[in-house]
Amino acid sequence: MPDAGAERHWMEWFARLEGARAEPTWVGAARKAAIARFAELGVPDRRHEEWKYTNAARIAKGPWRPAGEAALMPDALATLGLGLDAAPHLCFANGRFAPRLSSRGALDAGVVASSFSALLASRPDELEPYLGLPSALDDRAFAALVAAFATDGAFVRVPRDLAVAQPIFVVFASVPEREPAAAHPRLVLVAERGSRATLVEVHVGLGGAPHLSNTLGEVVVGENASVEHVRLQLEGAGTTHLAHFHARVERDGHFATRSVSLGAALARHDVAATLDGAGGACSLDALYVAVDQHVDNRSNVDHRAPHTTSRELYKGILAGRSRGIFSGRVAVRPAAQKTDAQQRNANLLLSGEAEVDSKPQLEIEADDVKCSHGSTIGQLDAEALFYLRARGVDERDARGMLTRAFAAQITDALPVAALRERVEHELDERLFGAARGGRAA
Amino acid sequence: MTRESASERPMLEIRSLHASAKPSGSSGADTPILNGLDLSIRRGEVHALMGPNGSGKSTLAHVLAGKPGYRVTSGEVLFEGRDLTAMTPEERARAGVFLAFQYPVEIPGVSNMYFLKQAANAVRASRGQEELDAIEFLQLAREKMKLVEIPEALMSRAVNEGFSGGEKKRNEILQMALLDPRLAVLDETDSGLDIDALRIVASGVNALRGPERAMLVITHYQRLLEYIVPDRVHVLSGGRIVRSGGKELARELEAKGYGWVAQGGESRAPKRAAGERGPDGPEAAA
Repeated sequence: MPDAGAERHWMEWFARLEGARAEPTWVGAARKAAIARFAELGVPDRRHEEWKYTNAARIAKGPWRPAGEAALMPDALATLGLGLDAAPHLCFANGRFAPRLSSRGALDAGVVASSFSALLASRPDELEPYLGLPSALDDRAFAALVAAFATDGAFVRVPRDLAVAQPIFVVFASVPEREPAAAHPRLVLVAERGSRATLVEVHVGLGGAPHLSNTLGEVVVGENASVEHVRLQLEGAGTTHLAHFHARVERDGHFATRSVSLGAALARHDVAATLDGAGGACSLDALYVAVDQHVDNRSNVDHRAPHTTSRELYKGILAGRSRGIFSGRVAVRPAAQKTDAQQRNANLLLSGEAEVDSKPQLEIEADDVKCSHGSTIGQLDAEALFYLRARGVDERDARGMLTRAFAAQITDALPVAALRERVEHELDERLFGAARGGRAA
Repeated sequence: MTRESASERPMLEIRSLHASAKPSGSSGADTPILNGLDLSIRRGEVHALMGPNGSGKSTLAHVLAGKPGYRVTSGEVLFEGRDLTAMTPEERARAGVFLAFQYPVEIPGVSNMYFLKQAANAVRASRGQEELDAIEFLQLAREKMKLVEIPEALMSRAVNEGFSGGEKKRNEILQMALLDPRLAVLDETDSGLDIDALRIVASGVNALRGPERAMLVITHYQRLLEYIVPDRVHVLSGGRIVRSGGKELARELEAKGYGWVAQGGESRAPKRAAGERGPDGPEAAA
């Protein structure tokens, strides 16, 4: 352990909070197991391959205090422009459930969409299997901190054979405090056999001061179920955002995630998918945009069963003095014959000072598989830029059009129109400093 | 040409133009490509520029449109009295200069309709015309699409992506129709076209001829000039115009080949014999 001070800091906070929590003893036991795991793992140093480009010790050191209650104005969500009003949504502020800002909407009565805290009071059995540190993320020190410190979380279960047409939104608002504070929100989605659901997870910052948003998401895609997941990261300019995310896909299940990362000073997205049953499929798509920011993407796809399929498309747009990282691992286990895995990473550098590292990693232990990966780093196409300018489009608009076009593969596939518009607006604003007209088809 | 009768100055005046291609790497010297080119085009006129590979035809087109990667080392280019070389590519387009590309660029992710609307509105705004909304633009585009028989399906696809050679060239002429330029430079618009596509493209171009518009049609072959009949024909060799004449010059060239002009032929006395660079010199980077 390079810096025992960082670990001690978290252990001390844990001890201080322990006495103050009023919760069942088994919940406290799950927390204790998690903090013990954190102590055991320690904060990774730079010799740790996974943390070669991002300084974990600096993140851990903070100093962060646990985030307190944050009161949100009722219109705080309306101003996000995500079209939440009409959709079922659960809202959290600094990891605490905000019931008055949440609504089931027209959600089918069979769907559980609630907070951890409410479920602990009404039906704790539902929650119990998901309270600890997911085994697939059991070597992630910061994920262990979420399991130890989470104040609350969102829990959604879609019952067998039910198709929920409307997207379900879960919004985590980060409200920086006077002193740097840490929130540890959790999210669980269980899609039972044969069900279908779309979940939109939004992390939005309501302030630019230093803040730690350390998150943990878990999705279970049952047999023959289909889950579409969208993750929009719009944290404030001073925030450190850590995402730990795991999806387990059972037989013939299908999981698709599209992640868009625009905010935070430092963001690290650690996404893992386990294809546990034959015929399971997943697609992990991500767009990461950085302007003078640091964004570190980890993906981990584990093919554990035959006839499983994975698709990854990670696209990065890096401007100013920003740093982007993509590190994608695909493992194909001996049992996973007929695996079909594709991984693509494409990066667009908009400035001479932006840097990107792209590292694919294939570990193939089966012989009858189809695996490919590819990675590109480039600038805007000079020929295309000249073509647009030769038609009267000014240089800034031409750059904007080409940049939006680069992102379009991800943004066009976002399932909600309001989300697409919001993302395109943010892209323009962040990269080119002004809102422009929409990208008509 | 009606040099005596016209009291107004030409729309395009190129005087002793010398231009080089900048080296693509960090080192190396410029490659001179245009070596003292003179050319004047009046409004309403269609001029053809012919020449062998490497003579500098495409370089001239690129220099007129302002493509990065070239340096004008001496001479001048005046468009309606303004110094074209001091303007950005978009300023030239807005002023009314249009280049139909030899190799139209594919732009994945940008719909053709959106691109055309942005371009048309950028040019309109610079002329003080009102911008067109989506519906108004669609009406205008449909009208112009008929000129070059472009199916509506091509409008919702990405710019030139997966278009056939003929579709790309028709799309260029459609852009010309929508942008309504004063000077159109057609860079080897016939290359890669079969005879049917050539006919469609040529009839589109002919429909856009008019007393207020000038055109410079660049081609390697005489064939295109059967369809787009020029007022003047110029032969470029070694970066200079070595011979000019009426439309019959194109036929003569076809019969005798470029070697005839490059060797001096019955040239109207170029000041030097066919330039320093032979007809086989490298074509300017495209």
